[in-house]
Amino acid sequence: MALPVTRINENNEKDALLVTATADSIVVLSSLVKSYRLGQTIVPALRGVSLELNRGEFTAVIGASGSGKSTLLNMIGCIDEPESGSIVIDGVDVLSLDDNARSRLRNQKIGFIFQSFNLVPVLTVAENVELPLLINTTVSPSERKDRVAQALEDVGCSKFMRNLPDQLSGGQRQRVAIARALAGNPDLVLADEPTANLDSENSHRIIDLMLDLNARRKVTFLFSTHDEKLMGRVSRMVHIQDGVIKS
Amino acid sequence: MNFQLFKMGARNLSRNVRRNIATGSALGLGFAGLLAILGFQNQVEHSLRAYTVYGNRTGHLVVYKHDGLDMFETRPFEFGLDTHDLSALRRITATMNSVEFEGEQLIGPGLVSNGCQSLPFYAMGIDPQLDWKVQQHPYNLKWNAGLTSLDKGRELWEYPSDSPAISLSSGLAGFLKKENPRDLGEDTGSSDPIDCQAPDASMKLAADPVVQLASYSWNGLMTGGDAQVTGIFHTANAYYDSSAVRMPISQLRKLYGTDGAAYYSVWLNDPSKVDSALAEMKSRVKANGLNVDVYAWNDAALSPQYTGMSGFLMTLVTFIASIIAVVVVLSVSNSASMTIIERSKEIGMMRSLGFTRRWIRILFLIEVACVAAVSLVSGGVFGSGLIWLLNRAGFPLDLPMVLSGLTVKMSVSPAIVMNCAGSIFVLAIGSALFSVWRVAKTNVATLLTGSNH
Ligand SMILES: Nc1ncnc2c1ncn2[C@@H]1O[C@H](COP(=O)(O)OP(=O)(O)OP(=O)(O)O)[C@@H](O)[C@H]1O
Ligand SMILES: [Mg+2]
Repeated sequence: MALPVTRINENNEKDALLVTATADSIVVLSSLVKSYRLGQTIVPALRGVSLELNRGEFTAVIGASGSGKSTLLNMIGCIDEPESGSIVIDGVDVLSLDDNARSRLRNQKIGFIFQSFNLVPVLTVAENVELPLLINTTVSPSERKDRVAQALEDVGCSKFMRNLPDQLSGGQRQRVAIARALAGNPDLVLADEPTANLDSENSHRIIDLMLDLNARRKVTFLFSTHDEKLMGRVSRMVHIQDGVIKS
Repeated sequence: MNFQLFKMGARNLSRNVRRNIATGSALGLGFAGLLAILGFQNQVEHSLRAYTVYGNRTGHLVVYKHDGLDMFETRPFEFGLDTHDLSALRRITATMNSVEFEGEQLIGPGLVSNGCQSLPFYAMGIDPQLDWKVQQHPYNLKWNAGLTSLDKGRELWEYPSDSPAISLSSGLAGFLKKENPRDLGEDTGSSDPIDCQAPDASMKLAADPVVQLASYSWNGLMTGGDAQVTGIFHTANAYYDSSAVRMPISQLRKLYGTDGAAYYSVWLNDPSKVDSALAEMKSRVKANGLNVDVYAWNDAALSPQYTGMSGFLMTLVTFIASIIAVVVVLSVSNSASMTIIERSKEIGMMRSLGFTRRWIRILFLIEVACVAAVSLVSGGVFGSGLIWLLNRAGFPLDLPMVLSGLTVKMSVSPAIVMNCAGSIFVLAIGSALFSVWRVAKTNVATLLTGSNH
């Protein structure tokens, strides 16, 4: 069970926008601030973002280009750090973890789906799906095979198992990437514009697949998009604009 | 170590075959070059050792009267070893386990004449039985082949140790026209004085193997005697080749009117233990109250030719090895950093999936290790072939002060192969490590944008 977490920020003041987590929250973000340095100028990317995601939710982050969607997902995925604010994933204050512990958390609790699929070209489809399991010490080799087979079946790619990624179409590759994200049985799947490289038919299919998996596997999904047509399909939408959540 | 990940590393090599071949070639050729140059050094080093310790009859340890190394030649009476010294030294070496054999030697100048012409000589007197042990030593036979050897006639050790036999260096024999050594006891023909102006003088000189020796005794008296040329040899040293003679030490002692010796040489069972034997010898002579100096064979004062050549070779080898090292470092680090830049997105993906920094480093180093292993094996095969061909080709080798007739030879020992391969392997891994280290520490989100260059 996730416990309420209070995090003191660097100025030793209590966060004004402290979010108290409920047992149902898988992600709790409080007052995230992040900016990038571009030469002399400082580009604000997140300007005090607080957000809570419940278990099993299917949420879309929507916003114009440059609004901060990727930055937000990177924070939740523990692959980047905010300047201030707190991030709690499944009850764990991730900013207090070291790099190895964060890697383990990503490996065991979070699945990633990327815009450009990011499959390893020298590995077969099955090997790509197996990749995150290879370093997961809690999964035995025989269970690994079962999970790979199940994940590939779930995305309808079992028949490509022994193919290399470049023998597949874009839509098929993204399915394999989804299988890879699911193989580790994560609690949360993050997808940053998973349909941006796909045509609209394939985009809809990928969203259908994610919705289906969300329903069947009870996995929390958070994906970003700026494609208006996909928006009607999700239960919850988070609008972000200039680094601030609008609704 | 997960075999699957190892397999991925190996398969990744196929992603940039041309680059890997280029890097591999640099490693392989560097390895082959290193084997060749170190093989050459090894061969020359052993040849010089064999020549100095055995061929030149120096021994691993040499005992001179105190200051005798510098002073013996001008004042042998004061700076030679006397019978008291020699018997004490014999007692000491008889109880040293490290000693294989030992003996006293005498050197000195004089004039050698064929009846018509006199030339200066520089003699070495050695016990013929000791000389047999020294020259027939397996190490000498293996490495010293050709640097000093008998050209004609018989070795001194084929005669009793007090025979009036003498071996001339080939240059001196030519000047004296004594180029036909004759076995002792064979009829040496007429001993009538030769008319040096007669047209057949050269022929008569050549037919007569006897020469006259003249010198001063250690006490300063003029001395002389006859000896029969029984052998002609050549030395590796161009200077000595027109003046050196060898004869039994007993004959040379008669010429110098002494029972003493110039120095006392000790050959060891295990040449790698020279330092400890030197220390033991020094303490033993001190304990016996002997006023002597003990040198190791490779002491610069004793064997300037060896130390000079050896030092020169070392400089050369170090120079070439450094160039090879730089090439290896540059090519590996260059190709590793290019590969890493190309794959930064993939590295970011793997980090997202939970691969730790350590895993990223390991995966890349596996790739570098594969390239290194394959190129070391092929470089080793290529290098061995090259060395075999060069050894067969027999290119002439001209070394300063060393008489020609040597050929370029390389001799590679298993230790050399292991050390070279190990060094190149470590160097390759080390050069890749730098780029790998940096990328593994890069922010994952930055890696995923693929713009970390
Ligand atoms: N690595 C970076 N260096 C500098 N500025 C950055 C960097 N990453 C993002 N930014 C800036 O931060 C802001 C938010 O960027 P972010 O990538 O989160 O937006 P986004 O909503 O994902 O946009 P897009 O739809 O184009 O992907 C933008 O102004 C962007 O220019
Ligand atoms: Mg983005």
